[in-house]
Amino acid sequence: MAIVVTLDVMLARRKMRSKELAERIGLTEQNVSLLKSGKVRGIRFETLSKICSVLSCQPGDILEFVPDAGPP
Amino acid sequence: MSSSGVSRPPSEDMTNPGDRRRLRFITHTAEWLAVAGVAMGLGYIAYLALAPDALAIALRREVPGVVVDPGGPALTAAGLVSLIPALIFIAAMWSARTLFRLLGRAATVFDPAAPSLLRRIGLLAVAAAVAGVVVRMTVGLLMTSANPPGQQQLVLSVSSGDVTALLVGLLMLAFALVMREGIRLDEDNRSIL
Repeated sequence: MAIVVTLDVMLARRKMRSKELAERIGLTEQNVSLLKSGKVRGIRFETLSKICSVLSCQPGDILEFVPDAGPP
Repeated sequence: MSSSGVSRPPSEDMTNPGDRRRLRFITHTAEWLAVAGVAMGLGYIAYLALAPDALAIALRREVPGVVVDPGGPALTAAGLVSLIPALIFIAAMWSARTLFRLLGRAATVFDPAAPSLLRRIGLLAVAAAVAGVVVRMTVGLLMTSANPPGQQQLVLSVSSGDVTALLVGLLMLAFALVMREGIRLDEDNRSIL
């Protein structure tokens, strides 16, 4: 997948647990866990905005583009 | 919990609480009507089974061209054949009851079981339409089987009820496909956080 979720890195930097983030952004802990592992098809701007607000970061701090290894 | 693994509270399913209340009222009412339909169907079959004379009278009334009473096996066969639409009706009512119960009580309106129930009801409605024509023809043949040569009847009639049942059946089959697509879209939507 070209987009990698680096939410776990940002959570570690902010010393925040997934459970606390889940409570503050209104998602279940299970969904935050799925988001961290990148097992979701997408993320809404609304959710992204809440995460950035709670973690005081930019979208680029939790999402990273990694080009595919194969031929273009 | 959906198959995508992403969980969502049931309250998000229908954003308008009024719609949810209306759906519950409609499904609850329809569920009891379907149960009443099953009871009526079973009562009708039980009545005809317990009162063979009533069945014979009903069959004679249904086929006006009976000159000589077929009696015995032909009458019994006609009686059994004439029960087929009632059995289809009971099966359809029971499936409808299951579907209404599911829609009224499930956490999500996009329950994966709904399309198969809709499809079953659709197929039963189509079967009822076909059975209506075939049963009338078969009963007519059996009831006039003892008539003198040249007075036996081959009744081929299509009633407005048959056409309605066919259209309702096809509508249900189409809705089942639409519902299946709706469930797929719902699954897709659930996997976006």
